[in-house]
Amino acid sequence: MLAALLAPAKAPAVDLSAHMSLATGALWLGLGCALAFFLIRPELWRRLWLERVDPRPAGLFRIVFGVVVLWTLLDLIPLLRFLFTDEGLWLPAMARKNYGGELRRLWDPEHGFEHWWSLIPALWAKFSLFHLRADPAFVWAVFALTCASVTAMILGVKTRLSTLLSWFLVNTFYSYSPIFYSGGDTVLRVFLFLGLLTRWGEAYSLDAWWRRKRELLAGSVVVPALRKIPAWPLRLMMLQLAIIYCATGSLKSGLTWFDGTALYYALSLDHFYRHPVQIQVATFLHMIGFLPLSTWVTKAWETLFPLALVGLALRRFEREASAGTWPKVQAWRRALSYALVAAVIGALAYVGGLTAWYYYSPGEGPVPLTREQAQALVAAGVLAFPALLVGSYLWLRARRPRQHAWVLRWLCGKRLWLGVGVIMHLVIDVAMNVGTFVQVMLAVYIPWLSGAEVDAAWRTLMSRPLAEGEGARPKHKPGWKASLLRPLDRLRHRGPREPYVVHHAADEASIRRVALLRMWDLGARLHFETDSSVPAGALVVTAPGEKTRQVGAEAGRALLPILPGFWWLYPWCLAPGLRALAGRAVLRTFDLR
Amino acid sequence: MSQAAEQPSSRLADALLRAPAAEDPSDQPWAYRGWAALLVSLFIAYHTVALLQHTTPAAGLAERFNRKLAGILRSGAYMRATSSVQSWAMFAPNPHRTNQFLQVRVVTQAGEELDLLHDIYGRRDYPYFFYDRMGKINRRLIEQERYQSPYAAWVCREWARTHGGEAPVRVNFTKMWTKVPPPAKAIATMGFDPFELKLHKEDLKGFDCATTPHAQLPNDIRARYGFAPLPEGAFVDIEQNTWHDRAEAKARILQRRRAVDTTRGGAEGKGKAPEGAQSDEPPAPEGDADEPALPAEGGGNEGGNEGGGADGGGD
Repeated sequence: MLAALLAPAKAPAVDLSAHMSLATGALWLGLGCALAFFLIRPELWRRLWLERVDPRPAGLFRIVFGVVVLWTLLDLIPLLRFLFTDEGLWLPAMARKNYGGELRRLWDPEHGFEHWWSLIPALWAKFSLFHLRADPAFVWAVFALTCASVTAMILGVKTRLSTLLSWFLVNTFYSYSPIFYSGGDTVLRVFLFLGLLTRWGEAYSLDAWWRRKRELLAGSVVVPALRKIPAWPLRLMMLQLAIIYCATGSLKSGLTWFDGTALYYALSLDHFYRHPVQIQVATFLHMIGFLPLSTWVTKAWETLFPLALVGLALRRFEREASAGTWPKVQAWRRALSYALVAAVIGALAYVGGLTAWYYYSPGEGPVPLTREQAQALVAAGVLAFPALLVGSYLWLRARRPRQHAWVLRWLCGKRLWLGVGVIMHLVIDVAMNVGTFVQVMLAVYIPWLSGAEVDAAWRTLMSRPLAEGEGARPKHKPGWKASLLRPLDRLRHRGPREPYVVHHAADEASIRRVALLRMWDLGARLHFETDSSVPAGALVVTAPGEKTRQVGAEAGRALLPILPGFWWLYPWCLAPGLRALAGRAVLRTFDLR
Repeated sequence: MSQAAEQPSSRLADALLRAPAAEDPSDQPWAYRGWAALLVSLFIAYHTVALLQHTTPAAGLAERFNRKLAGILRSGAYMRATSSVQSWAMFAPNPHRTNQFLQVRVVTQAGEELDLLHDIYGRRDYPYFFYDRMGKINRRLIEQERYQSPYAAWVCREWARTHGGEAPVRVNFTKMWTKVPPPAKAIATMGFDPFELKLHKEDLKGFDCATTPHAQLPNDIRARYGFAPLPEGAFVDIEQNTWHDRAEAKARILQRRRAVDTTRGGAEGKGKAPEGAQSDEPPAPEGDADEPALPAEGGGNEGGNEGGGADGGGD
């Protein structure tokens, strides 16, 4: 990939024939060595792809990503007739001819498919139901079915099937014609396919809930655990995100990204800004140097984003090495694997050097260099950069433990790479209207989280900020510094809130039913007390700060704030008649009364 | 309840209501073993290499390698089949430095020329909350001229659909643009009013509704709205070249050859072949003769290789 990126995408035509074969051979060698690396070190391959991981990040991703997919679909409603029906931009014959792939040959409007098996190559190529039929009634029916299947996917109902159906139906819209695509649509399509490979219904889904409920009520002596899932689809998602950023950063090769004016222009375009007044703000920010700096940071951060993957791998290695769980391998295998990595870098350096020789113009550089010198410089740079990185890291590790810990925590940490991304995308969303691009980009960060991080996020959400001086939270002297630090301290120093007490009867059936509540209690806010005065199967709750007990539907409603799975019922509580209904929905879910 | 009965309940309550959440009981660290592990590994390796090949520019010294790798992996077909076609030229190589709009006008049967207000210039409501895909499509019509003919055809059909079946005469396009002033100029005035910028205009090629393919409201849609059918031959269709068309063309050629053979046989019998015995029938279309006239499905922001024009790339 790096080698190809070294080749200028829009460079003037140059006769490369003298070295084309050599460069091709070098790149084949590089690819071969990269694959051979994992043959020599299969334990790394297993750790990279084949381990089982906590299903919660995948489950959360399914919900958030699914909501973005649904939002994007609903956003298409005003254009549905124009984009997809035969009363819109394309008559199906034209759309099929231009975008129907093999279908345009395999299917005839009057005579259908030539053979029944023609359907297989038709499906293998780009396929849209609308290439076969596109009258408004049909398109609206497919649209409704698509929204229903995406909703089922979000809820986790027959998750594998609903995901497959969602993928197929969503692509029926995207495969019809690409005229309406935006960057967000491409991210959506690509990750929906990866979602198809993921067992993302094992957490936060009705499928998982029904399975665990069944097991618990059937006599399980522990609250049934969530089943771990294969890590590889999530790792492919991480790789995909790294490719998106690295590719877009590398392709930003125009002058404006180097002279720092790119963001000024982007924010001043009629097609994007939220309000024309922003142009004054953008001009001011450019004048004080904020936008040029942001332009360079954006380009560097995007291009270097794959280092986030390196950082993750490094942190994992350090964690396991200190725990003594990192696999030991024979010295020869280790040495050979290092040699293969060196060969990959060597091949890239060779092609990079040749590229410099062909494309470098001696008159244009800031320093006078001949082509040979430019070639040597690039080749040495490609060789030296990883050597320098590895050497510096090893030196820090051996000699500077504090700095090493800082590098691991920050430079190699997700907080830097994802944190910058979150800020960048939020700023984009405030300043520009680019559809659901921002939402889908933030959604695809979720597969980078671990199960423990998702759990910590829920607990933080359900916790309270410690008071100044309470616990580990420092007490600052009043002043501007304290004002600045206060929001950060409120985020960093948290303590548990008072629990909701669930009073239950002592019989086994009642215990099992209230135990079901734990599967929905993501912030660990529930506390259970046996009370012989509570009737069997009844839900009785004492909310924090309240002395009276809530019973039945009122108890169910009282639990809404701490059970995220029921947050969608909040609007019901605003309507007087529906308030009790929301409580009863909670009771019914847990077979309580 | 007796004490003996309470004790098991109490243990159960401790286990179910107070014990830490249970872990997945399976102690197997790996998701797959044996053949399953091998098959999944092969798929992962394939997907990863295909993805890297697909997302790297096939240019310069990497061109031949990239092309051969794509050929071996058939990565283009794989990416299309999985709907993973992608290109990430967002604001690349530069963001646009001009605001472009396409004014769309129709010339009616009465000779009147009307602006259909399809461009967003001066017409967008601010704050701009709800994403306007039509604005993007309007800009794309300029960046990718090949979309202009189908768009004009739709304008003709839509006009006919909403005017009792009567099509307009012609659709005219005018490209309009304003240039974003460079920062140095904008700083001098601390910003600028985008609607005070000079509006440049350039008339583009127009399209006749009678002759542009698919610019006529077809009879099945006319029937939906109760319009009279088009006169015979008025609908300008496109050549579809389906399997049935090819089979029919082949059958026609075969029939013609047989006829020629029969004639030749008769003529040879008379000692002379007829003039023009070599058929002037066009050959049957084969394979890929019918390539798309419009851009193939693209990835990223602008579709295929079309991200960013001379001026720059979009979102």
